[in-house]
Amino acid sequence: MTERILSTGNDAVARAAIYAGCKNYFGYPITPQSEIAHYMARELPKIGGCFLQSEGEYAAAYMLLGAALSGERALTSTSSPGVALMQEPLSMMITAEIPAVVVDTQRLGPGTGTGGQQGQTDYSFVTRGVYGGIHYPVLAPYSVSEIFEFVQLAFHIADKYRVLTMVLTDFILGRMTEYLELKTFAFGPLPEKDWALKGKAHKGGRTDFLLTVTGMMLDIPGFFAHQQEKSNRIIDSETRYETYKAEDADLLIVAYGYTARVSKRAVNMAREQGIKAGLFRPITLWPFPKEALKREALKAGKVLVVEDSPGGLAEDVKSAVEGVSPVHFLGIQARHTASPEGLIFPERILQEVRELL
Amino acid sequence: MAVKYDKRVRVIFAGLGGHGALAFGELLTEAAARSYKYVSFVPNYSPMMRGGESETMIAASQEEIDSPVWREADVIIVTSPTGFRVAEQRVSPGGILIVDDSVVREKAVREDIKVFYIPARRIACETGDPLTANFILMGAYLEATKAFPVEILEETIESTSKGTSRERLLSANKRALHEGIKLIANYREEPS
Repeated sequence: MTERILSTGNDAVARAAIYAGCKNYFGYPITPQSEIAHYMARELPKIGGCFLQSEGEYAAAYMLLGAALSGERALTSTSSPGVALMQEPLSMMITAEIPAVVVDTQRLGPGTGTGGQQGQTDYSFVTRGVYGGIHYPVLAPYSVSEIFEFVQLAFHIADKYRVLTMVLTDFILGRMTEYLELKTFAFGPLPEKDWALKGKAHKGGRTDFLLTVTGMMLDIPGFFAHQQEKSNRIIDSETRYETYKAEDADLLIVAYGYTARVSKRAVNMAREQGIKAGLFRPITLWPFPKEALKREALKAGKVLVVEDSPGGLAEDVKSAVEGVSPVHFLGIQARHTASPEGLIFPERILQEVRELL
Repeated sequence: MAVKYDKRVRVIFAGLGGHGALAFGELLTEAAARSYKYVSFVPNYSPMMRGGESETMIAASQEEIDSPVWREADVIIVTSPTGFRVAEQRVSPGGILIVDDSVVREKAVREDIKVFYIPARRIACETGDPLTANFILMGAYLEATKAFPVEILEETIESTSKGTSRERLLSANKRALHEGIKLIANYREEPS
């Protein structure tokens, strides 16, 4: 029987990585995700793994690159300003097709002074942020148990396509406690890592030119044709979403992360009052479930994006349902300031839903 | 009295950093997990370690919890003078507000909720351990709501403090818990 335990979202990240066979963690502490590093620092040495706190995020991401290049599963985690600092190595990993997992427990705004604040302001940045023009998968869990599952899935996707994969959580999801079932998820077979640099002895002294690690690309159109073909395969096979009470909805709420949980409650509250609201939740932010959203939006006729930011998801939603349905937006300005930093509460979403119907 | 675990628990502790909102939330979540199939606990606090607004939201249910955060709660425990008015507004109609009136000087104006004024901080200071104020409030919560039997909380305090720095406070915390229960059991409305 699987063990059911109470865990924070951040601990679930670390547990999931270990369950996925990842024994390498490199990182630099930053609120609100340092608990991931704490867990790894405590647990990795016990299983012969490598925990290393670097001198900064830039170095951590290069360590991630090095470990992953040797064919090992490797993880780093950080929060918004940290992802910004990692952009150079992460972009290089995407270009050079070095698979690893990055977790962004996003927080609001810049590096100092806002460390303890909730926010979903990384959407555009992480779904389009890297240089090099190549997309990478971004998974968006909305509960502790999904964090546990999606971090394992991220390792699978990374190895399957040789692509950097990100899991995007937030302050609420990272810090909250819920139940999770401890188990290893099986996602299917994976190709052998015949590209991994394991030393000359590994291939009987044979040398290969398999990776463009130095950034010196020789056949540029060919390289991008290959990347495009890979992106298309990821779009075809890995696009994920979930709907909740959307079948007969007159209004479709679109949200991810903690605001999807809040929106789910708003849908339930609306239904109790006889208002037919439904929820569409993109699980992969890239690839974005455009076609499915367009279909559901057409059925509902009205769309409301709920997002704790000035609008990042809203742009993807608008581009997906352009001309099909009007898109309304409830963003960071809809926060109640009741709690320390203010949050978007279900009651506020319900009010908006009532005004729109 | 036998407690039926079919009701949905939705509680907020709104205090200032150092008031024990986090410990309150963690403990109640652990206790709730012994009787409910689903629990959620969200700490939400400002970057300041001491003195900043600190709030925790705790939910428990036999059904899946849709949202772990909400504006309205059935029970709110408030120890923050600056957060008091908002906390009062956030209690669901018919709900309960527990106020540490040795810290919060204002009085509630709503008549559709039940309000208890408990001088938790003052009593905790008098007994020599100000850190136990949140456990007095926990006792008050238990007695006012009958959400859990005191034995479950006592067991949880024991198992969660074992081997931690909180172990030192074990007997003081248990005493505080019973002090809070007594305060509500003997509670008399102040003449208005």
